[in-house]
Amino acid sequence: MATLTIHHYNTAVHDLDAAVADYESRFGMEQLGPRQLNPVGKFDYISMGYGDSLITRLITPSSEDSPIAKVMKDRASTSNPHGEGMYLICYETDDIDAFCARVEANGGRVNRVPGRSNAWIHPTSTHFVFMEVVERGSSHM
Amino acid sequence: MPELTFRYYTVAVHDLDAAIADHEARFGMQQIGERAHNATGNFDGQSMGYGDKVMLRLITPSAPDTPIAKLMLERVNPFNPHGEGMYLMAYDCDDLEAFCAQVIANGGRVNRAPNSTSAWVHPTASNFVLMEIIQAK
Repeated sequence: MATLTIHHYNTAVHDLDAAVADYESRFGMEQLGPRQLNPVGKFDYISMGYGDSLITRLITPSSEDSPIAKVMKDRASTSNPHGEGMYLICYETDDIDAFCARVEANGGRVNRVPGRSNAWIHPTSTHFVFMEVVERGSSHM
Repeated sequence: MPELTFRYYTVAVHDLDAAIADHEARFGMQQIGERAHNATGNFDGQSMGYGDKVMLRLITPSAPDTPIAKLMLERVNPFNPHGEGMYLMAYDCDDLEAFCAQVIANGGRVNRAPNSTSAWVHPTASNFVLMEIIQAK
């Protein structure tokens, strides 16, 4: 059976530098690598955690047409003016093909580029938790 | 320095039985323990995971005027008609006292009942991730 373990989650933030400073001072986390651009998702990110243990990636849209920017705009409210918060949870599995097949066989929707070792499970299939699933040991991290 | 490790997360759902069935069928998870009522938050919850390892708790409000029901109502949209989704992330901490002091000393808000072995970091202190911190045993 293809089971899941948590790899990390992504938190969408308005000001990446300010968020990194807050996570360092308030939660004692460290930056685990340099700021990087994800050109597909159109966001910048910095991985945060303890030692070599990744907890969360703080992500911020790199352009206004980024899907992250749209999610943030949709959930902006009086108490959360920039629509910050959880974006997705990323899991590892031993067998991405078997995992995706089981989701689809049970009425779920999967977005996956053929042959790739990662996939996204559509929020309508997860009670609105956006899930990315990656085959353990692959380079899609 | 106190550190956090991931413990589980909670997902607010409209129909607990349907959500349990979906998590079993689609993700191969099992129910861990019994369905339980949380009197403080006024919700019912079922832990789900693999073997004895809890991944998440599916929770559903027991009444309309509960914090979970209000949150769900606020995030209702045509795509997500019941406002389902992530509620909080729970972490273990090796030193809850020191962790809370560190958050407060750096401008963050913490909600904690006196001497409680868990605390909630206010979403404004965590870029709107609701965090529950539990003293590790």
